[in-house]
Amino acid sequence: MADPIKLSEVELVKDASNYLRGTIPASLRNRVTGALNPDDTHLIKFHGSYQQTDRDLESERKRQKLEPLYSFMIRVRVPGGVATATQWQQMDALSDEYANSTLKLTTRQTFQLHGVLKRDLQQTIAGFNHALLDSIAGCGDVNRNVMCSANPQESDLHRQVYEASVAISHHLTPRTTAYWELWLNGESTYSSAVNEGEQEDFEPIYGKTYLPRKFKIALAVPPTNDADVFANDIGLVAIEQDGQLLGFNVAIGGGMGMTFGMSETYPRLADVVGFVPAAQVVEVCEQVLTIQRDWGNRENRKFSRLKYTIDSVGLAVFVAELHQRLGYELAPAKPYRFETSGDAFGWSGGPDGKAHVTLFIEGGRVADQEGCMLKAALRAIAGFHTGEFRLTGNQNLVIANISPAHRAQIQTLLETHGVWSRTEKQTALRLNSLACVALNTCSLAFAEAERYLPQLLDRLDAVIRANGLTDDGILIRMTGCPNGCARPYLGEIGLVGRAIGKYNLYLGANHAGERLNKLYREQLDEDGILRELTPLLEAYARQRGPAERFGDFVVRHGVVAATTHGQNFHA
Amino acid sequence: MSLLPQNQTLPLGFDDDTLQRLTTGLSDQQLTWLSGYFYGRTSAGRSEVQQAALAQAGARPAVAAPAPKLTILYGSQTGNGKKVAQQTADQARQRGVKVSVQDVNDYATRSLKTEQQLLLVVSTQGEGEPPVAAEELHQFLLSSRAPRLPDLRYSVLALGDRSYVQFCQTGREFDERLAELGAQRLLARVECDVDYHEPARQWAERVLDVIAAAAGPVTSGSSSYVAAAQTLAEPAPEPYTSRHPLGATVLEKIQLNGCGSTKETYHLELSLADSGLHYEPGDALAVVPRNGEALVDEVLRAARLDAAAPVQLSGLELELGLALTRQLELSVLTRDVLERYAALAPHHYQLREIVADLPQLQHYLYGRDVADLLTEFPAELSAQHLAAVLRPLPARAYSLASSLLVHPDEAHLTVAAVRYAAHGRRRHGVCSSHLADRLAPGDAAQVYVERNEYFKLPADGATDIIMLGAGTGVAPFRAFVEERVELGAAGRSWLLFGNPNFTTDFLYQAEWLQHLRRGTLSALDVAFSRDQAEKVYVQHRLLEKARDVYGWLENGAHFYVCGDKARLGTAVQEALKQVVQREAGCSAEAAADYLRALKKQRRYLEDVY
Ligand code: SRM
Ligand SMILES: Cc1cc2nc3c(=O)[nH]c(=O)nc-3n(C[C@H](O)[C@H](O)[C@H](O)COP(=O)(O)OP(=O)(O)OC[C@H]3O[C@@H](n4cnc5c(N)ncnc54)[C@H](O)[C@@H]3O)c2cc1C
Ligand SMILES: Cc1cc2nc3c(=O)[nH]c(=O)nc-3n(C[C@H](O)[C@H](O)[C@H](O)COP(=O)(O)O)c2cc1C
Ligand code: SF4
Repeated sequence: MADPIKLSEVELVKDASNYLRGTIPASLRNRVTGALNPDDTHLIKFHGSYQQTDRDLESERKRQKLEPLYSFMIRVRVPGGVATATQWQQMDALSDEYANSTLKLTTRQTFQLHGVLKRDLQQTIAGFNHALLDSIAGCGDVNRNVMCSANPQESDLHRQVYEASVAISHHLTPRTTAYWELWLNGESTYSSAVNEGEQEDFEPIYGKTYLPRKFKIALAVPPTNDADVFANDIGLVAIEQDGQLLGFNVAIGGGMGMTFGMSETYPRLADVVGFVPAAQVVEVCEQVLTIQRDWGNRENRKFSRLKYTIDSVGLAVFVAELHQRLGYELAPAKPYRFETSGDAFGWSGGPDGKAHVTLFIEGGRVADQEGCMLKAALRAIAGFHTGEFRLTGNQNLVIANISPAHRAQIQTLLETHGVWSRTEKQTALRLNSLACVALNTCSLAFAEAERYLPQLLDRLDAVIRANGLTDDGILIRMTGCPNGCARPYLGEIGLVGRAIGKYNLYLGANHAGERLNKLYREQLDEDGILRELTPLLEAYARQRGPAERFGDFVVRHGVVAATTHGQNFHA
Repeated sequence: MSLLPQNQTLPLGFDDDTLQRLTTGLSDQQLTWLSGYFYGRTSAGRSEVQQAALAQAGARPAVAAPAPKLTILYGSQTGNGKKVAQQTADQARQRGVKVSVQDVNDYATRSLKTEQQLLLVVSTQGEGEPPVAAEELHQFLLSSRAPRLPDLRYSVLALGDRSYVQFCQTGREFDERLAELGAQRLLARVECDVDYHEPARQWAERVLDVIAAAAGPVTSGSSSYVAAAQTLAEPAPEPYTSRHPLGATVLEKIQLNGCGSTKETYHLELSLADSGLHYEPGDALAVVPRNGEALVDEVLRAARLDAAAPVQLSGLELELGLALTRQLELSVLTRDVLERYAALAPHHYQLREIVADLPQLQHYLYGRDVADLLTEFPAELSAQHLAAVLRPLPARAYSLASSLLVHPDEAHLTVAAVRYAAHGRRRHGVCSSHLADRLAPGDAAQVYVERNEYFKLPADGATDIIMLGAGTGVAPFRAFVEERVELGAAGRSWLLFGNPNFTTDFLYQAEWLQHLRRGTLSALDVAFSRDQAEKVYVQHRLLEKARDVYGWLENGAHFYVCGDKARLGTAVQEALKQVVQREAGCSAEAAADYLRALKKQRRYLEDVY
């Protein structure tokens, strides 16, 4: 007989939480600490927030006999990354009032606020509500923000795909009323959560212990894979005919995270398992999710993601179960072609005469700095812009559907605030860079990322320029740890922090997010990174084939072997 | 036969007939026995003082006119006055004077009528207010209920500090009021500045001389008096004093406020190794400061004097620069200095006006230092004149924040750097900036203990304590809690703390949280005034927790308050009265009585500065 299951601690906390309440009210009332009761730190994630500490001040405060500087990161879900100008204004205002005066645009198209103190949590979250935003399921063992291509120029198709992403998001949002109760004084004026007047809390899809782990869904419209669909538990590739959405190729089992020194953990790209018509896409997502709910590992969170569930039972078994639960089989996948997972910058026009401008937001951080008053510029624009603000999966921002009357005004504002040059005058390498948050807020970071990559790029840019590669987009992605928040294993150049100032270098992913990279060198410092990359970039400049991408080049030249499946990532 | 001499009226409503009736048939022997019996029965209930007085009367039955009894009362906050009173009593005893020495807190005000010779030692606290112990007597005497005291002969020793505008105010008030009530001075009032030892000793000598002279030749012989006088050295002297401080090495100096704070508070750890210096939680450490170079230069410039100019100070010759750095107070301007200066510079008519008018004076002194005075009212002063005008640089007290049981050979302090801008210059408090800016680990601070007689943990460890501290006022409570943990005290401890901002100003937060987790602190409440739109202070928490506060008090808890006088003093007392009024459902007067009783029982203790 099998041993009885020994559930992980988080499972016990969820089970005892009464649908995500736990002792959060008491935690919030406790004035003597900026932290929550330990159990509540797990539960608060489901409400979109992480308890963090300012790691820069860690040892200083310890000496000062102060507890760590606890604060909260709050992630506001924006399905498909589409926010209205009013919503932008509200987030901007909240960041000034309660957070560290910056907005972080994430790799999953959400807003993050950092540095919110416990005593301001309630007002901040209530503040989202005023602009019809919420943070429920921003984090936690639930379906996270549903990503969707931001390419607005193909507006009709995009709209249909976007609507599908909203429908999926809506359907998979937890229904507990704890969110209203805790943050909105019981008023359900707005939340994307569904609650059809149920008297008691009831989670028809999740059950009271929710999922074993986070769950992610992304939708992309070929040829742009800006949502990096294969890094998700469910990746949906839009298939169109004559500009109309037919349905999606369904890919399952993607994920980036791994742990150093544990080769049983690995990044994995989702496997395409068939095609589903648009009308059934929500139901397919629900069924994949509920199989994971039932089969996923609840003992060891390191192996709880769908990718391990699939690899432990075998893809065929999993798909068979899916078909069984659906009551029908998925159609065979349809052909499609991705060309890039990067963003296209600058101005573009939609067929309806509206214009869009895609801005490079380094590290996704919207802040005011000397010489680049980005936050102020966007605030000004949000004051009159009638279109949307679209967050891209690459931490960038599209000011979309600009009315012709506003175009010149926006351009002028971007220029006078020093924003325009940040997009216009960069190497394509920098424009294709991603960095996760890492220090000083991420508790899991071993090394810098967002705060450091710009400096490293200053040096790499020199190599790029010297070799005439200024306009060649090469995906470079840096994270402070192997969890992979900036999807570094899909970087043509991946840099993953090992320790302060030390990075592992991964090479050989393809440019469209369809092949993982492979470890090339370990524990490099900055000089080491330059030393290793310079000759490769020089060779690439001289010896590449026509339109050959850097990731493909290094594989062709045997610099690294191609990774064909997550399970041979470490090989 | 009448039991009494002719024409004598009987006290206590007895009349001759009744006495006759009660004693009919008793023999003389029986009557004598009964008198002793009844005397013994009644005196068992009397106070020590009364017994001593009665015993004395009994021992020497009206043979010759007995030397009138001497009562020494002290009203003291930090124990200076108590020490002086006890030393004076010892001196009196050496001279054969019958003396009783008593804390005015324990003195029944109505006994005043029966006193014949009274010495009162009293300090001034707050802004010219009596110490808590003397509040009741003070109120009684100054009220219209006060009796005439024509038979009383007295003298007042007033303790104070000249840097306060209302110097020795309480002593003055007692002295003047007693005179008004018809009492006669044995000796004119003596007012002592911070350095009170010598003047206090002289006062005692002189007043005892007067008493001796009045009582006629001492029968026990003058030889014993001389011998006694020689042994009159200060009893059990403190090993370190203002004149002989200990050089305590700074072991550690930590800025306690997190970055971005509006406050600047230091945690200092000083070494007491091999010093023999001992203290108890509740005591303070006096730190002898030095003036900063910038201020000394400013003063020299304003006085147009040379640092190298020689001056005489208490019989020693030294350079003016050195005197200004080490010996004289520059950072605060006090009334005495202003008065002396005005006398030296009579042409400054406006200055004379300021000195003569209290409100103007207070306004002028606030935020000004010696350099301001010299600049605003320039005068041709010699170096010697300047040195003579200024007052000695007194040490500053800092509550001890550690328990010797937990940190043997160490003294921890919590020091707020006093910095402000006034009259166009940045200013730094002399002692706090000495500690904050001029002493680094490895350097020595000059220190000695300033005992605080009353601000002490309850003798019984099972007694609960409520500690209310704002800012650096939390310092002694760190020592209290450490000490109680080490002693295994069973009583509960509750800390209420306030400061501007939670994230940066929660002094010793990590330690409090650990105590809380371990149960060595039973409750912790905090108020951070600037974290929300409306200001919230620690006394507000007291009201929020009224039920518990009252419950603890009813259970015998001691209540301690420490910190900024302006912020805490009356506000906490008001809050506490409201707590009592609400929870006991009583009138405002009854609540005030409740608080008064707490004070009298020394269960409500303040150390505010
Ligand atoms: C903000 C963001 C990075 C960014 O710079 O944009 C981010 C930030 C964090 N991620 Fe992430 N992740 C972010 C996208 C990702 C992605 C990319 C994606 O989803 O496309 C991944 C890889 C895909 C995947 O899930 O496998 C990712 C994989 C992880 C993991 C590893 C998960 C795993 O199963 O292996 C962790 C750690 C964990 O969950 O235990 C993690 C955890 C974290 C936490 C919450 C750290 C923590 O658990 O304490 C980071 C908060 C840092 C901070 O201070 O803000 N984050 N994280 C991204 C927010 C996405 C969003 O809006 O929802
Ligand atoms: C029993 C006792 C215990 C104490 N415990 C502590 C303790 O634990 N920690 C602690 O830090 N202090 C404590 N103090 C206070 C301490 O003794 C000193 O008074 C304090 O450090 C200031 O001394 P200083 O020499 O730095 O400033 P000074 O040179 O004496 O200057 C202070 C003077 O500056 C003036 N001043 C201050 N601020 C302003 C302003 N904003 N505007 C205008 N004028 C201003 C005032 O006239 C004030 O009197 C305690 C005091 C007592 C009596
Ligand atoms: C908070 C505080 C306030 C004081 N206020 C005055 C005052 O207004 N006038 C004065 O002359 N002395 C004042 N003093 C000085 C004391 O009277 C002086 O230190 C005295 O020696 C204390 O004697 P004690 O220990 O017997 O109370 C004050 C001292 C403190 C600590
Ligand atoms: S990759 Fe690691 S360091 Fe970077 S944000 Fe994610 S968890 Fe933090």
